Amino acid sequence: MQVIVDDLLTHYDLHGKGKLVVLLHGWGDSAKGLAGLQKELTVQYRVLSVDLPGFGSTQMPKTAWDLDDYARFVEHLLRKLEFQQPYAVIGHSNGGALAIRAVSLECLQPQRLVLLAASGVRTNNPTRRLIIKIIAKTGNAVTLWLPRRRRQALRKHLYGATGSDMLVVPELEDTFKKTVRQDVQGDAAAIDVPTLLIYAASDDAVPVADGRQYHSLIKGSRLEVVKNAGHFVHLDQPDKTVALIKEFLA
Amino acid sequence: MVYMETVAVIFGGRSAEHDVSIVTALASIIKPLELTKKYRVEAVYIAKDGAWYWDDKLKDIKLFTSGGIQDYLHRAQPASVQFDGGMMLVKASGIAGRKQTRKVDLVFPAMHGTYGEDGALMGLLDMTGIPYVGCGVSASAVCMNKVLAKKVALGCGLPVSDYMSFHKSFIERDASTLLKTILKRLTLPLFVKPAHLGSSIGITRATSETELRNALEVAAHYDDEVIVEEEVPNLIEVTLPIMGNDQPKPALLEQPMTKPEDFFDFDTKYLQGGKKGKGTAKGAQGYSQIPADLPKDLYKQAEELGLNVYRVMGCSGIARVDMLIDSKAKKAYFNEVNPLPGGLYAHNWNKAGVSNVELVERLISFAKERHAQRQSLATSFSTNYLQQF
Amino acid sequence: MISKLTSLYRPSYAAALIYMLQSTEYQIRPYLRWVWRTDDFSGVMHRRTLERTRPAKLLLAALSLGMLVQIAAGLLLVYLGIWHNLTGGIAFGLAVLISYPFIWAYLIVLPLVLGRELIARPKEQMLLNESDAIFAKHSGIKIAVAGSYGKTTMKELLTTVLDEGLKVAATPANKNVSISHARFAANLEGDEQVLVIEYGEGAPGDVARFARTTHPTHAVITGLAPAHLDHYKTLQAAGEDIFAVADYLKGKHVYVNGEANAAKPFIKSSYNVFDRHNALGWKVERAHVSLSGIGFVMTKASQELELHSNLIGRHQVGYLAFVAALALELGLSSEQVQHGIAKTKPFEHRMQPYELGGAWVVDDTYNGNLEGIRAGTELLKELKAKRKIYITPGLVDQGEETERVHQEIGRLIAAAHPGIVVLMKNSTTDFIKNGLKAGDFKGELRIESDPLDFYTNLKHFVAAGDLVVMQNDWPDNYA
Repeated sequence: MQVIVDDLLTHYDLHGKGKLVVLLHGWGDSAKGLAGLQKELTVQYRVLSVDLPGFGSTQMPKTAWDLDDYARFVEHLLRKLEFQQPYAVIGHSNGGALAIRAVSLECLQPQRLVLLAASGVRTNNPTRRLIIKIIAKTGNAVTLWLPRRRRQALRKHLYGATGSDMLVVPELEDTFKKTVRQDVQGDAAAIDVPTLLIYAASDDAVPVADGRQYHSLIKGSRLEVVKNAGHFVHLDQPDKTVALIKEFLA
Repeated sequence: MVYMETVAVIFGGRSAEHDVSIVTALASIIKPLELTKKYRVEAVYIAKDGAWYWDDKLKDIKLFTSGGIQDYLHRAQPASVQFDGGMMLVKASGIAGRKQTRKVDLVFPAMHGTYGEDGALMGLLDMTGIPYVGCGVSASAVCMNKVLAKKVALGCGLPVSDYMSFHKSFIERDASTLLKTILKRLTLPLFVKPAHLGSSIGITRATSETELRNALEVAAHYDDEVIVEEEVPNLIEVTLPIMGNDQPKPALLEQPMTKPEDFFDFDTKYLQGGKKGKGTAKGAQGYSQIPADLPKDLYKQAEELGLNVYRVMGCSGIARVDMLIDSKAKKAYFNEVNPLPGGLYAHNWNKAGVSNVELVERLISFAKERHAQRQSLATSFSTNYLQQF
Repeated sequence: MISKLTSLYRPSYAAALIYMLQSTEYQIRPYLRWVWRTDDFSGVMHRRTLERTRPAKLLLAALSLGMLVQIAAGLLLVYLGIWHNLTGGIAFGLAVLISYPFIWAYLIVLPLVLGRELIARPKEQMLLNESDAIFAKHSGIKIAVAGSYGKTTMKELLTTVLDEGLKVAATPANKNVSISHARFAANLEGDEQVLVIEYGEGAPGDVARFARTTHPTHAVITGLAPAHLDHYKTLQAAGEDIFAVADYLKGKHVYVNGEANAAKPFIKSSYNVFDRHNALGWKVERAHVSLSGIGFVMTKASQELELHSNLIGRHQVGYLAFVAALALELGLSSEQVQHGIAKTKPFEHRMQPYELGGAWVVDDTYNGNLEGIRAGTELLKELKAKRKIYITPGLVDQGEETERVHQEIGRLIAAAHPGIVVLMKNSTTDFIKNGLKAGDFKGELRIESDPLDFYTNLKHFVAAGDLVVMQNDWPDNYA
């Protein structure tokens, strides 16, 4: 379904009856990526899953956004649909970082928070970031002579190889830069909502270490590490993930 | 060597249905036309930025599906069109600045949506004076405006469901008053649609006042004009492809099995691979029943209605009429007309006994027939107006 | 011209040669003939490509290596020639260099022959000796299936139906020569009640030899038609070879398809003859043929048996009736036979019906002979349709009979009254055209130059109400 939020044509899926649960997808993903999880939860809850601006069928933000803009967008969406605060918020990857920031800004005031392989611990390895930055700058200068398309393809390839999602959606390059610069550890420390952290043992995009970091920051949080799963833990181990979430929300 | 007529197939365009148009052109028009071995087929592609390209390479669907089209557009020189004594495609040949040209005998438009299906392209073709396939300027323009089409149908006494229409500025200015006005006259649930867009883009089914307000905003985001219609109860949706000029012939009534606004079942929705039914999923093979399973009299009623709509809209060549049936009251309502059905609705024609090759050949003969009729009309008169000035 | 020449020097040339070897089933003579005939090797792998099997990979490696060695030798000679200023040396070097595609097109045969003689043949001989003993000792009923056509169908029918009540083993699809019989024997468990053994025929003496090694107790002769005449030369020779199995059995338990006209002169009074009206004393009645199969009733004295099969075409009625009757004789119940016959269905590309955009297509592109064409055109004539379309490229392997056979094909097609006939442009096209003319064909005739293109685009030409019969896919090595 569609609705206009912040003057952007926004696509969302809303199903089920009961207390409201909001799903926030990760970078380069869309509501579709969380559809399986949504379907499972609709048995007991009213589940809202939205394509965040720039992803899925929702329009691109008109300027470069950071997590704060996304947080306010989600707040406006709920207001537009005439919802009160949700019972629970579930965020995956960058959607998890967004959820933390949104709770901290009080854009979202849920009673339960679920973070699936949430990112947002951005300072764990400053040296690696510096190296990538140096390579990127030099690479930029060296490849200037290439045709634009070739250059873009090459960049995409190289960023992918370093584990960066920056060029998954090339149009959002600036938004990406703004977003990943935002560390939300401080926001996490201030959270006093019961929080479930689910991390995947074989996740090489967001390591379990980040989960432990959040676990230590968020008072009374619970950390679950799911084996035999990668970054998309809800797709790799759907039964396990759903069971954990259902039990936590009950 | 026998002279082969040159048929230019024009596709792509600056519309939301750009991609559907590519598939229609390559799979349902160019391929069968080439198989007839009677025509020289020229592929004319209008990119999203509006530039025209003319190249045999554009006949290969892989160019578009692989994303290679971006590279192609970077390198290729756009083509141009000359109107001296008909229509002539012109492009640089790449050899010492020489121009390559091709005189076009007939055009097969394969455009969906705005700047193509809505009469804009047909106007240009009328100016060139060569025959072209499908509906003319006025029929295309009327059909592609859902409000205008309803007014024409109503004016001719054909049944339509209750509706209201508004200009975008009205919605932006005072939405609350507008909501009251609407709900005073029409009963929920309501369908809210942009007036001009094809397929089901921007369409919402609203069951509450809030949903209606949001739906109006969404529709106004796509179009200047918005139409709000009452839902037909006990609904069976059907669609009927029709071809011909003075004596239109129907294909088979087709019933899409999943409604695009049916958001309840996750599986159908995602298996369709569709967000809100991007046009092709609707009525695509496998998701529809051909012929629709209706009682004989109701089938006949809908078929008659479809043919009448085709006539009063002034359609020629081909079109597809969508209708809504109240299965309890046994009554069919006109919904909308697509002057160029996606893929020509060839899957339906096949079931009706018309092969893809026959379909394009017949459409070409209808185009020629209409062109000949128009040629025979008196269009210039000698007056002494200027002398009197 | 240039592109034809350069096709010899393209990297894909080696693969093309191996592909040709593979397509001719590593038979040297047909391969060499094909090489001789081809002038543009880039077009060889137009329809199919090389299947990378182990022998193919080994040969390709050997061929590539051989070519590289020759190129290197050529270059070395040219270099030495220049170094020592020997014009003759340079010329010879160049000749060596240029000639590698020609030389190796023939040289590649050498490893093939060596491998066959030194490794494959002794191994096969051992297997054959063993299988002779296995078959001789085996206590089950051993049914040999021989004929110029219909063997696979008969074998499958026997297996499907008899399997309802007996333990059956049959030779795998198209594995019908001595070595495959031997492999089949090696895999037997010993307690099978029925063995169905298909006899492929290729050259005079084949069938007699198969009979000696497989020790059959029963034999079914499915038909006789001009096929493999490049080896048999005459229909008479082919018939004599096929009926050798009947002689082996001394006329006992020999069953012959009576609808095969060419087989009639060979039939002796002790043989059981079956056809669409009679089979082993049963009368066949009320046969009904449609695109969903065949239904018929068999009666004998007071017994009546109603049967339905998913096979297509009236020519199958005799086969089905015979298999049903034989199954009853071998002790199966009526229910088992009914059930078994109901399970029979068309095989891929053999009178296989499918729907295409509302039209019906009967795909009979596998293999081909005049009797098959007779059955296909008969089906086209019998079934109702708004428009009938018949497609064929003609038949291969017809030897001196080519002209006569294809004129007959033309007449058969004309007799089915199709609205459209599609022929493929090749050496037989004109003969079929003459036959059509003689049969007073009045419909539309299309001649296509690219069969593959036409087949893949068939869906664009047909619609609901059309019935298409497609027969005999012409293998591209004969084009």
